[in-house]
Formats: sequence, structure tokens, C-alpha cells
Amino acid sequence: MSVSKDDIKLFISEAEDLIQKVEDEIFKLEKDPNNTKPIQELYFAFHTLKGLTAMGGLNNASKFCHYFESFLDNAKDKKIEDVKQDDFIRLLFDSLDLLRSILKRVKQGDMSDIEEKFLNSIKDSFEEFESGPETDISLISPITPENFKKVLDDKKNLFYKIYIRLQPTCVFKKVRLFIIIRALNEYGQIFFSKPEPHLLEQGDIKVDFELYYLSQKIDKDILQVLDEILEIENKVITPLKIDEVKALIDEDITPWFKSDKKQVSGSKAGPIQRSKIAKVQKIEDISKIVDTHEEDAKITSLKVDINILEKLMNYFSELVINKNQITQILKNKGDLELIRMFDEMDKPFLEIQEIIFDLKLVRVESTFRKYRRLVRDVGKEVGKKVQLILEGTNVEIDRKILEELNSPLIHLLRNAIYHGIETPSERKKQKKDEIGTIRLATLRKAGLIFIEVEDDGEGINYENIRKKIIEKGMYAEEEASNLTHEDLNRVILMPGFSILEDADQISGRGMGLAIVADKIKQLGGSFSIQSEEHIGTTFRLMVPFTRAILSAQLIKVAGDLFAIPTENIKQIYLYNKAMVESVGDTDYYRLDSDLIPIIDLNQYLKFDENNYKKGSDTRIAVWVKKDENISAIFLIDEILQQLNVVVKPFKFSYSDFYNILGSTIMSDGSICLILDVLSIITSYMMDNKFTKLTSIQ
Amino acid sequence: MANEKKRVLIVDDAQFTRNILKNIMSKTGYVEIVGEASNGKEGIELFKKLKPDMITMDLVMPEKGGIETIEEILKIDSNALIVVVSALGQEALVLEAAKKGAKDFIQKPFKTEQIIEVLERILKKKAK
Amino acid sequence: MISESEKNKQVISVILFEVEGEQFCIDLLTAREIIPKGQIRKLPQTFEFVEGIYNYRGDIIYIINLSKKLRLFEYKTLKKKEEAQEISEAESNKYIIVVNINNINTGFLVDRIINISHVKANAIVGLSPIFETSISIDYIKGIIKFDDRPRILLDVEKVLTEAEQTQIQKELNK
Repeated sequence: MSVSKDDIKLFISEAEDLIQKVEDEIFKLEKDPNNTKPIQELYFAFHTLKGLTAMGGLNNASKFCHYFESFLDNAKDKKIEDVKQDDFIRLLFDSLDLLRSILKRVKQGDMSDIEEKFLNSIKDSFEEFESGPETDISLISPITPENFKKVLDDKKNLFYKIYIRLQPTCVFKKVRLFIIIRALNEYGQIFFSKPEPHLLEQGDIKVDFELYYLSQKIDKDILQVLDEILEIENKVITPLKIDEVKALIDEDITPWFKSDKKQVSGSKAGPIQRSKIAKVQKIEDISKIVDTHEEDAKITSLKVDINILEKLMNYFSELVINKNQITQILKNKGDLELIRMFDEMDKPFLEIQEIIFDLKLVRVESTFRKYRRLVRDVGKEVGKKVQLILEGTNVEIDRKILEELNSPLIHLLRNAIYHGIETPSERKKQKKDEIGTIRLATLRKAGLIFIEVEDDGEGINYENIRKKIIEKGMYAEEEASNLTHEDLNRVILMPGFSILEDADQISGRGMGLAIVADKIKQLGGSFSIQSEEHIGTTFRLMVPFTRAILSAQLIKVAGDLFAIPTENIKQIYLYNKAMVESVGDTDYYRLDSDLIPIIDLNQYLKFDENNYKKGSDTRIAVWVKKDENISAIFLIDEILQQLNVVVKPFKFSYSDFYNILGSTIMSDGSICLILDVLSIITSYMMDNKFTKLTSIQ
Repeated sequence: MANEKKRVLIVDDAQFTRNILKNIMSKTGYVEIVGEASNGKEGIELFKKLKPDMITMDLVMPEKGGIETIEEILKIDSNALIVVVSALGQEALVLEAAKKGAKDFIQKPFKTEQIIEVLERILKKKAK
Repeated sequence: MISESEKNKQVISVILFEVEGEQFCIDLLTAREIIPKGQIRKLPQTFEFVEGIYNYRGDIIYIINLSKKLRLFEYKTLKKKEEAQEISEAESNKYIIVVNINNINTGFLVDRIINISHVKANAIVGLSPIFETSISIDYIKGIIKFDDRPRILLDVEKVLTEAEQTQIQKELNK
């Protein structure tokens, strides 16, 4: 897969973070080898690195991380024997070195993978520690032949052979085995079995099996333990003499240990616990650690593909539409009981909505913090000193939208560094701080996310722009000189414009800012530029908070169905002509002591003449707000109900109609367009050459 | 002590299953069904209220599944005696239940003798 | 390149339809569905050839008036124009062919669906200069030699993308 330069930059930045984390955790582990927390952290780090390297096309490196991940996964459940701990740590440090060398190569532009044969040698190193694939039952702790001497010498230890035959009707053999082994382990230790432990733990038996058991209890007591277990057809317990045990060790246990199969056994091969109490305590200790750590690490979370969430969201949204449709039909039919039942569906629906929203929301910080590195590195690349300041990083946004914003934002940041921030010497001349600052601020307001990318660089050279557009014949000289900065900002965003830029300036990036603007529009948002020479440039993005369900007020304008987001509505009035006062060319509506500008939507939405309803007296005035200072009165024809609608982003492919923030489908299948209050008021201001649209007091 | 009946709580979302279990167990004469719950949440509440000697637990239920319920009951009383009543084909789930601390399990459809075995082997042995 | 003999065996399915008395074909593979025209919602500030937007199974799609987009009226000879005016309102613009290009659904408003034909790949020929067409050659993918007469195979993608580019041009000219 092809990886762009930006992706590589991000890869490096992310990988560096992770590698640093790995190093930190290995040190922690070295200090306290019995602490499972670093192992947990390492597990997660390698897991993430696995994905990252895979994305970068480094498949072997990814496999490498995968081996470590599984290795650590097993390690976190079991204690590493003291003697093996040093080797363990060393292996981890070796892995760190390998990762570092991969990263070094990538930084030099070499995205080549590690060699396969190297992978194999790593795998072999693991065999020493690896306890094998996860088995479900991991309660058999075979005793190593070396440790048997100690065990045999202890006079309190009694040895037994327990033969068990299960009822033929037993289907869940694994579970049955688990229960039996669990019960026996409470009072002693199973140190071997026939079939061999690795087979037994996989539930690989026919109906009967033998367990070799060590306990300080007498056989009667052991039988009693087994009496309480279901599905056992027959059980026989035979005490074993010492030489019988020794023979078992020589003939069966030792060869088994030597063979590969031993590795498959689920639990560690460890020294025998001296007494039952000590063993139980150890288990408790470990589980306590795991418990507290579980709380910290929140193992109860899972990674979900964003696309799956998106699908879930879409299907669910469709369900909401269908439910509304059915409810509508039922209301018409008047079937009260059914209507009531459907109403009861509202609660679970609302709850699911909330849950899906929460799932889809993620803090912008997660992505934005990675930009810091990017900014620094790109800056260095072009010989400039730049720092990125993040504001409002805990704003939450739809995961998918954040994903889609990544590319445009990176472009804007690069743009700011390439064209905005000056070289350190230039900045010194202008009495600016040598280090240029880019501010990435996020704010959430009224269902919208505002993102600003502001730099304190040299600003847009509008004279240059003017020259260029004249050169290329976009405008005549006189027209061009009449264009305001705002007009010029719009010109910059036109697809045709960037063709005019010097190739080296835009570093071959193609359509540049126009694409950013387009992308934002696709997301249902808007994009604007503001700039002042020598002071800096600000790019402003606005995207809807979530592309999903919105509370909206249905209205009719010129016979057509529209909706206004309820969060934009301050108040609704019956239109009273007497309240209208004209000041200059503008009509205002009087509300108490304020005069609010009127926007007649019938006129403003520019419908064709046939549908145009002029000044009917029974119109509705909707007081909408853009923000604290700016509001307007929308004149509409009819007010319908308020309801929750599923917003579909509107495609602007064949339409200029930018006053729409999305569309939705009503219960009868008709299309309702959701008005973008912000956009309407803004463009009204521009069209009427208002610099401000404030109410007059 | 021998004359006091053993108290059992049945947790299963199917009325049908609850009825059968109730029938079989009460017919023995030494078991009293002190409560029935149709989901995990109810099960936990009734457990807290009634403190039964044994609980039969279905695994797949609305509101709260068996595994979670087992965990929570054992948190309240780590000695609680829980026997899982599962459907065929749920081995992984049953294994998980056992790991969480369920004492034993039987499968649906079960025979009367199986329930009796549960009572004899497990319930009767439980110390008060 | 496909060999002649392979070409002989390849069969392509096309939808044969009629707009303003003219018959055209489009590749069946690009078509998603043919539906009778329902409620199309008009949008202000769109091109003349955009009929409006439509609820297609929950997806809101643009409906392009094909006769307007192809500017058929302009190409007609005077005589035909007179004849054309006689086609009543009720008979025109009755069907929508929903096409799917680049995962986006768009609808073409047409008058009549004639049938779905299966033609051999070698029955599709390129344009020759002497061939008179009623529409701009940009939209033509090829000519299909039917048994009765040849018909134009429309390049759906070109028809759609050109519409978008017109949009951008408009932006530039603002």
C-alpha cells in the first residue's frame, strides 16, 4: 500500500511515543518484576504497534509485535519464575532495540521491513517463556522432575491415582473437567494425568481419565469432594507408594517434560507449593493484583472498527425513521393499544441513541496531540521554528468526522508552516518571537464544532493574489482592485485558483485549499479564511457536531417542507405586520425594545415564481439566533410539529444551495431540508453588504 | 435441622422452565422454592432479600445475563451456591460461568433424575 | 485487448429508453433500478437540468432531467420540434433510471423505457465522423448496431461528472 509523506510523519510520531512507553514500562518492570501492571501496559503498547506497523506496510515488524503481544498476554496472567525474569527483561530490551532501529530507518526514508528469518529467531527465543496457546483449563501444575525430590521427602504428602469415568451423556467435557480439577486443586495438587495434561486441558478425552494427585488429605475426604460433582459415573481412588510415584516420574513425567508437548500445558511449571494454604494465598494475591489492574486498565473495553459503528448508526437511524413512519400510520388508524406500545419503544430507542452517540464520540485530543510532532518536524524540514498550541482538546466529536478532518487539518497545518510562518531571522526582523506559533483551537457550540487554525505568520499577501488573478484572466484589473479581502478569501478557495500557485510553493499538493473547503462542505460544514498582513492567518472550520439525530422544528416555506434546528430557535410568533419597522433598506421586527432584522425566507430561498407566496397575513415569524449578538427573524408560511429527525448530510454536487445543513426523510417519505441558520444569516449579511447584523436597540 | 426445607431461588426467563424446576424440586418434600426471577436483575434483588441456600441460574436472559448475575451474587456472598441451567451448545458460556464461580451445571432439556442428583449431591451437602 | 472471437461471445446488456422522442441506451451495469417517477422535490439555485431531489429508498439523490442535460431540444430540426411539442405532459418524464457511479446514486428522468436488450460486444462501434448525432459527442460512449437501426450508448459517467464541473465553473465565475 502506498504511504504518503504525511502518513510517514504520523507513523514516526506515533511509533516514537509508543517506543518511549515501551522503554518506560520495561524499566518499571525491571525495578519490580512481580508487578503485572507494566506487563499490561507493554501488552497494549505492542498491540498498538502491531496495528501501526501493519498500516505502514511493515508486515514482518507487525508480526514481531504480534508475537510480543501474545507473549505478554500470557505473561500477564502468570508469574514469571525468578530465574527466568532476567532473561525476560533482556528479551524485552532487545525488542526495544529492534523497534528503535526500524524507526531510525523509517526516519531516513527507508520503509523496508525486517527480515523473515529474523522473525523466526525471535519466535524461538519465545519458546523458552511461552506457555503455549491459551487453553481454557489451566489448573494442572505438573512438578518438574528436579523439584520432586523435595516433594517426596515431605512426609505429610500423600500421593493418589484417581480414576474417573464420566457419564456417557456428558457433553460439556471441558466444563466438567474444569469443575473436577478445580475441586481437587482446593485440597491438593494434580501433578500429572493420563491422558497427558496438555490433552486433558483441551478436553480431549473419551469418557475416562486418570489424575495423579498430591494432597495431605486422606482418600475418604477426597472422595467426598468428588461426590459433590455431577456427571461422574464412577470414581476410584488409589493411594500410591513412593516407588510407584518414582516409577511414574521416570517413565511418564520426565519424558513428557522433555517433549514439546509440555510446552502446551497451560500453567507454568513451577515449584510445588508447600501447603495448601500458601498456594491459595498466592492465587488470591495474584487475583487481587489482576483485579485492581483490571480496573485501571479497563480491560472491559474493546476496539471497534469505526465503519462498523457507522453501519450500526445508519441502521439504527433507519429504524428510527421506520418507527416514526409506523407510528404515523397507526395514529391515522387510531389503534390506541398499538400506539401505546410503540410509544413504549421510545425509551429504549432513546437510550440506544445515547449509547451509540457516546460510542461515536471521541475527544479531539486523541488525534490533535499527534499534530504537535508533525508541526515541529515539518517546521524543521523547512528551516523554521514552529510550535503547536492546542486549545479545547476535550471537545468531543463524531469519530468518523474526526477521521475525515485529519487530512484537511494536516493540510492546513502544513500550509501554515510553509506559507504562514516566517523563517526565524525574518521573524526577528519583525520583532516577533523566533518560534512561530500555530494555534489549533476547538470549540463546541450549539451542535456545531468550530476549529481554528491560527498562525502568527506573515498573513496572506493580498496584493500578490490580486496580481495572480489578473495575470490568469480571472478578473480584469479594475475588478480585481475592487475585490475586498473577503472576496479574495473566497477566490482563494476556488478550485481553479490553486492552479495559479507556483508548484514548489504548494509542494505539489494539487488542489490545496479548495479541496479542504470541499471536504468540509461534504461533512456538512463550512470553511473560511481571515488574514492580516504580518499578523497572521486564521482558517476557520465549522462542522456539525454529529451527523445524526437532531431536534428540529418543521416548517413550510412556499409550500415546501423545511426544518430549523430547535437549538437555533429563540421564539416563535404569529407575524404581526404592525411590528415591522423599516430603517433604510432593511425591515426590522420590533420585539420589546429591540429591532431584529427580518429575513423573508420565501424570498430569500429564491424559489421559482410559481410557488412564491407573497406576504400572506398569516405568516409566522421565527426568531433565530446565530450567536449571542446576532439574530434574525425568519418569515415563514407555516409551522408544523417539532420532532427528532435523522440528519443526512446534503450533497452539494449539483446545487449551490448552501443554506442547507442536511436533509431528512419524513414519515411519509417526503424530503425535508434542514436549514443552516448560520449560513443563511451570514450570506444575507454579505448579500446586503452588512458588516454586522445586529439588532438595533 | 433435618425437618427444615432447603430454600431455592430459580432464575430463568422462561416460565415453562421455572415451572418444571419448581415442580420437580418441591415434589421431593425437602425443597421450598422461595422465589422466581425472570432476569438477572430480579435475580440479584431476590437473592439479597431471600438469601436462599441454592440458586439455579439460566445464562441467557434479558436485563442482565447469567454470567454477570453470578459475578454479582458471589460478590454479595462468596459462598453462594449457584447451579447453572444452560441450553445445549453453550459450552463456552458455561465454562465461563464455572470460572466465575458457579458450582456446577446441567443442561436443558434435563431429566427429573438430573435435578434430583443436583439436590442430593449439591444442595443437601450445603451447611446452613 | 479482447480478441475478435471473444468479443463475439461477450454480451452486454443495455437499457433502451426514450427521451424527447430520441432513443438511447445505457449499460445495465451502471443502472441500479428503474422506478416510476414519484415526488421530486424542487431545489432552488440549481441548474436547469437538475429536476430536484428524490427519496430513493432512504437515500436522497439528485434527479437529472436528461433531455435538458443533453440539450436535446436544441439539436432538433425545426420539424421535429413541432412534432415534439405534441407529446403531452402526461407522457413525458415518467421514469427514473437510478444509476450508481462511484458509489453515489443519481437519477435520470426519462420519458419511456422501451426494453432491456442484450447486444454482442462487437455490435458496439465507435463514432465515425459522418455519423450525425443529436447530442454532444462527449456524452457518447459508442453506437450500438441494433437490428433495426443504430442507437447511441450514453457515457453515464461523463454526463454526470460534466455536470459537476459545470458547478465548479459557475463558482469560478461568480
